[in-house]
Amino acid sequence: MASIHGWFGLCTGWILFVMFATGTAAFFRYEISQWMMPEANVAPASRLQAAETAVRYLSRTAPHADSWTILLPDDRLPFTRVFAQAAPKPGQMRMMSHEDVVLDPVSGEAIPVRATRGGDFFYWAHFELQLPNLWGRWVAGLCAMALLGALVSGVITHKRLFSDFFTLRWSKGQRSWLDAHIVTSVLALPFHVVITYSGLVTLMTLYMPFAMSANYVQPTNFMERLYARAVIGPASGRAAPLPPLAPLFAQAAARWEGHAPGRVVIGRPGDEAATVTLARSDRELVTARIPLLRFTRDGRITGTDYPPGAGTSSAGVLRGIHMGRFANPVLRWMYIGLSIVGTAMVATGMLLWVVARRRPKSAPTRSQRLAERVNVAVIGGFPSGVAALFLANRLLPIEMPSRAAAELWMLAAAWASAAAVPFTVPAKRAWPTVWAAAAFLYAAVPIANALTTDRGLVASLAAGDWAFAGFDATMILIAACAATGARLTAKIGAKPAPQRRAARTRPEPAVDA
Amino acid sequence: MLEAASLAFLALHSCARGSRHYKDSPASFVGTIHRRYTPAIAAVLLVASFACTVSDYGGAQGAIAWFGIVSLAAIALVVALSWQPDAVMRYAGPAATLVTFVGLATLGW
Repeated sequence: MASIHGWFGLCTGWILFVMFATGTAAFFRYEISQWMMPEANVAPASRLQAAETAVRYLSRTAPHADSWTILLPDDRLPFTRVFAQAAPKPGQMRMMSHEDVVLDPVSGEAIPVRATRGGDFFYWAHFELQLPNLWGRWVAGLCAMALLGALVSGVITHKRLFSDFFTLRWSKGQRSWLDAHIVTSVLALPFHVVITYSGLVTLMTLYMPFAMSANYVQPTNFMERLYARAVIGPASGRAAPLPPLAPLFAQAAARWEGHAPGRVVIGRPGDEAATVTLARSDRELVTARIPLLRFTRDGRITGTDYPPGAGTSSAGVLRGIHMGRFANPVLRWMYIGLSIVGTAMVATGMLLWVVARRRPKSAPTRSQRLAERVNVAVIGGFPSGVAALFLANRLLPIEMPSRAAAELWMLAAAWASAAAVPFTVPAKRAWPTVWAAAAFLYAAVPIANALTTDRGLVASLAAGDWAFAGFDATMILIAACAATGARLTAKIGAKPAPQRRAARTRPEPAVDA
Repeated sequence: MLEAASLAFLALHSCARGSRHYKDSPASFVGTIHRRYTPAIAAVLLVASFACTVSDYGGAQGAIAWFGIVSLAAIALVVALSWQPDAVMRYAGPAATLVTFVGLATLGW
């Protein structure tokens, strides 16, 4: 069991670290998107007003599209986002496009925001890992399965689970890393198990498509039932205006205990066979399978989503728990806190693997040296890459071609630079170097924001702009943590080796019985 | 939220009394109770914490939040114990009890 735990962890730990880190950031996906599009500083508007102004904009700019998707503003993302889509090819699923336009919800005019992936990058990178096709999802799934195995084998391996339950000993070398790994694993075990299992459920149709293939001729029909997607019928070919949205919103509110829709999908706009689908906001429901109402052009309800069975409902709730979109600010911070604990669990496990194999009087093997260097490259280097992404968002020219991709290249370049450090200097010098670089980059983010926009930390605090102020404050906090990491690792690295060996062999002080 | 978190902290604090690593403190709220009853007290406090969380956030969100509250309270307790075990065993219990009452009072109970 110990071997299973160690090897599952070692083989997948670095990818899991990136998945946990990006997943943690994805809980603030909308706030990060707000920060990365500082031009979209808009006045709040009702969802109905935002929907009406968006329809006016789309009627003018994309009258012949196959469908329009309108994501309505709310307290987390105050602007409207619209997507105009062409018809999918036969047999293909109707996927949401990444090419969106940001609108002012009051005027309905497009806001010229800088090209950026925003917080969506973290969401997609969390399970697609920026790999093409479905490779990222397969890799993420394999890592999640290994993590589930490592969690179970870890509990079985840990013989003194209850006696060590409240034990965390500092400055005792391997013992401290083991304690830290156990504390971060065991005390948040329910979260780790649920988030891992629900993550696998989120992509279950990819990993286990057999029931779907056996029972459905068209996989798209199954997806529509599982995810409650808007169904768009064939066009009639006869032009006709769209219905007013206010009566449809009123009908939806009457059915959903007063809650407004969060998304509007208009199929075949401008055609007599046009349909308007309203999806309830996912902010108020634990399940990710949100209810739909479909209206014809004359305002009649033609259908709701398919009634969910027990399996579909369970999958919806598990996906909802995984994504945490229902969470209020307190619960969202709790998600963040536990995700950070999960990231720390993976990081301490990887560090423990190296520390546990050190022998006082023998040189580390090649594999140990490699693992130690990759630890520095991933655990110390990836945070620097993320900071570089935020800096690039503020420093790259607004009109730059392929700007969104350039931001990601900056992340890759910064990460690669940090990853090169442990391969050029010894690990004990590499750790403080990469942490110091991360501290510098994170501290530079709020400064770059204040210099390039009128929404710096002081201005945001004065205006009560909590998304911007919170983001800048978080950057400063991460910079402080990285600086502390740099100071501590420099201190540990500066200690002469014999003293450290002496400290390790010193008997542990007696604990109170 | 505040009262649920402090109740969970109290429950875990009473469990920590059972650990061989930490000295019992009579000044603590739970220190006045015999060790034999510690698991029962912890169970009651956890149930109370669950009830408070569900009352604050509703059934589904409350149940999810409760797991998070217990996990984070446990981590906070362990980090505090690793730093100042005697002070935590002596003062954290009464402090958490006070916070519980303040939390309940702000809810109007």
